[in-house]
Amino acid sequence: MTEISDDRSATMLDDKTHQTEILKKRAAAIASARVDLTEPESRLIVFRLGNDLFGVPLEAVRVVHIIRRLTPLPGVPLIFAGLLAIRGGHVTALDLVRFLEPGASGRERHLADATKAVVVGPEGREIAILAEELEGIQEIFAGDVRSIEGAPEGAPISQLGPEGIQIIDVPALLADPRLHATRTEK
Amino acid sequence: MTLGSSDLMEVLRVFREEVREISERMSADFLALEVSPKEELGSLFGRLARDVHTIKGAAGSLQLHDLATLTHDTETLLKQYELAEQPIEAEVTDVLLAVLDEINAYLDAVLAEDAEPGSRMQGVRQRMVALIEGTAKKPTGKADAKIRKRRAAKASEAEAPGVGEDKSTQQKAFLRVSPKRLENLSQIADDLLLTRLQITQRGVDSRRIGEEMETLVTKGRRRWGPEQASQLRKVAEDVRAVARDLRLDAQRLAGVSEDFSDALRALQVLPASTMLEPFRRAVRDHARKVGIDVVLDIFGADVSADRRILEAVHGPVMHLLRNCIDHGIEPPAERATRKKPKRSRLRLEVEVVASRLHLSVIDDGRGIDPELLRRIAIQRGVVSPDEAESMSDAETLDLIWRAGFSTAASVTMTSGRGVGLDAVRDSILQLHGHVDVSTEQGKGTTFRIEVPVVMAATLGLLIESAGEPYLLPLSVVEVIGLIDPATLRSGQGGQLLEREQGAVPVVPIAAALSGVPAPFPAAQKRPPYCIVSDAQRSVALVVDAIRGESEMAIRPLGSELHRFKHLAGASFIGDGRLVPVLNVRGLIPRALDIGRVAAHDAGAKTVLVVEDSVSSRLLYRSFLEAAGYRVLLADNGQEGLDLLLEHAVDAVIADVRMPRIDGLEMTRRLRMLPDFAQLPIILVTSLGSDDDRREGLQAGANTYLIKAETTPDELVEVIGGFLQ
Repeated sequence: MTEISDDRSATMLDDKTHQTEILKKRAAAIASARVDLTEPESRLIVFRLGNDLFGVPLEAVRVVHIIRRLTPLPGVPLIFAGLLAIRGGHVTALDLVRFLEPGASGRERHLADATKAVVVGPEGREIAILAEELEGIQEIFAGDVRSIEGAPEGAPISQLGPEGIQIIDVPALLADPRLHATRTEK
Repeated sequence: MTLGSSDLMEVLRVFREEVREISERMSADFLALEVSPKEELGSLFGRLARDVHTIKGAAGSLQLHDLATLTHDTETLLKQYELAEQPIEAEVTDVLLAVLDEINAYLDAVLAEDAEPGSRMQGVRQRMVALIEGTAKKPTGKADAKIRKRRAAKASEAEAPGVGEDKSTQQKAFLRVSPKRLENLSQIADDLLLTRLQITQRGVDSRRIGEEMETLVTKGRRRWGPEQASQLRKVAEDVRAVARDLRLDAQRLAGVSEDFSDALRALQVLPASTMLEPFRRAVRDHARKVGIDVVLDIFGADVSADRRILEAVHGPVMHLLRNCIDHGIEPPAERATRKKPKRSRLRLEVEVVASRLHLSVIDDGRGIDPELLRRIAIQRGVVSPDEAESMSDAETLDLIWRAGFSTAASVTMTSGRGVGLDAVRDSILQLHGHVDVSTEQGKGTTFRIEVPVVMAATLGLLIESAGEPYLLPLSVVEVIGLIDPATLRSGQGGQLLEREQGAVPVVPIAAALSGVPAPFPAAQKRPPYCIVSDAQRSVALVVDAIRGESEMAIRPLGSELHRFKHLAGASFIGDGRLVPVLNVRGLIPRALDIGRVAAHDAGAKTVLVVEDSVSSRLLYRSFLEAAGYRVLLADNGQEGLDLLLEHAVDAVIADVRMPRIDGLEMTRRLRMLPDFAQLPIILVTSLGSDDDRREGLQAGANTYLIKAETTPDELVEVIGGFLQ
């Protein structure tokens, strides 16, 4: 079950208000566009990072965590933004912008602005995806999703949802060699 | 009463564990039957009969008919040999050991709810039946009576005062606990430790707040009236009282936490025999496979050690035993010519000395010839002929621990690939242990392992670099101090710190961690340093600050970070922060590399060499460095991409065929990124067809060179052409 983990729940109030507004708008848009109230095919947790919207299937999300401190890790590729302390343990934080575009600039801004982390993956293999803002939960109906032309097979993002939401395929993300590679010790 | 399916499965699980334990004992007894003198056969057969009967009886109760039948046949065969009062032949032992394997596999299949768990047992049962029918003596009622009489006599001997002990009573005093549950308890112990550290820190914070309040009240007494000041003082006193209570709570919790950790450590201690006994079977099986006649003698199996230590040394010890069989012990014919007994005795000796577990693997084989090692080392380019000439025998013997070094003339599944002894040493070093070897030509070789009896205490040294805290396990820290500039000098491999015991390389830890040369902390004339050691090498790491000791509860990093060997894990510290724990075994090579790079011309261009062949990598590096380039090394395309994202690189030399991501794919990916569109990429490969060349250039390489046609000098010239 997905839950919001935060010791400082007050900091969530603004987010919740913001989310509620967005959800209301979306609900209105969806209601006007559809006359039949069919069940959604899936639900996405939607978050913003820079100018991009990303969505993670709700069932793949273990927890959404509010970042209090990110422990930097020296001598690792920049896709690994650091470690997040979560419930007495820790999870590796992934800089999705760096991950998707290895040459991307503006890393510092993204990291400084990242206030949330969406933790995905099975137990023991969790990864925390850094997010600037949590936009809410988006219901996805048949026909809402389209494939990204030219996306390679097995790419972590190969589909777009409504409003250009880039849908993250969590198993594909975790299968990326950069996240489970081993190399000989230097 | 009938059992529900979940109850039945629980009973099966218990039975499975019981059989696992019994079969380990039976395995040792089967091996002993091959070599024991006649007067010991009776007690061995007696114990085996009881064990087989235990399994057979329970199998019948649990309706495991295939298992009951197979154990019945085993019983019959053993009775025939017991009646004949003769040891069993090696071929029969093979079948009996195979029976144990199949019994264990069968029970695993039953627990996995396999539809036909007994299907695999047919083969071994046929072998068993053939043996029974081929054995001359068939048990009869009269024979059974004879055996019973003999066992009864043995039993009465065992019951004599002071001779025997009721092991079944002894065993009932023990409880089975799965390692997983012990791990869970360890986690709780860690959490307790963390909670204690946090409470201690809260106490320190509260006392500080109380003191600050007191100071404010004193300083601002004109602002507040006497009554307000008195109230504020009272609040400050209350805060300090809370701080005192917190300190007492932390002390009490420390006591509980330490008692709990001690009790847990005691639970983790097991007799070494649990690890050692299975080696008898493994040695026998491997020796028979390679045609060596050897018996493993184990001494000191009754000493006890931490389960995690025993598990961690199991692989290395097994490797050394195999190594002795594959390389040390001569085949029977050769032993005969050397006037040695046909059967070799391989010894595994275990003892505890001053809280250290010592394990020695000793063979009586041919020993290691230093001259042979020198020749092979030269052939493989590990050392130059001049270097080999100047090496002592002891230094030459040390070559066996190098990665990729093997003296085996042929490659087997387990030996001769040059993989192993370096891994053995790495595993032992990771346990803060030590391994060495001594040898005498013609007489044998001894490998000695020394590790702690219990897992190392988790105390760390808290340091700071670039504003971030890090922990170094205290067990690897030799010295801490302040750098005296007068003790620094430049050496070939970078800066050195002179001290009485000899000079050590000195490197800013920021540089070792980031992989980028960095100056000493500018703000300090005498910056702090700590000398860390991995038992082979030492390095002085210059840090921004040393904050003192801190207890650690190390949590491993996620699998995505396992490849970064300079990181051991992360631990919370008293103020609740999560701090990376550094692994000196990975950190020291980084520090030495960066020290060497820093010593080089700071303005040098950087070339990344991506090559899976160690020798080619080192060859290119030496030529490029001689030409004044900084060199980064990667052993596959993925690692190359990682390094390119971390470092400014001026040119890339890459092989084509490599594991994970090959040179072509790496080149294609780089060319898709604007930052690397102009980066010179030179593919150097043994693939020399026109199609290969075309494919390399189409991938985006600037040049495609064939290894056999290009000398390292020419390669350096090509690089120079691009970087002028």
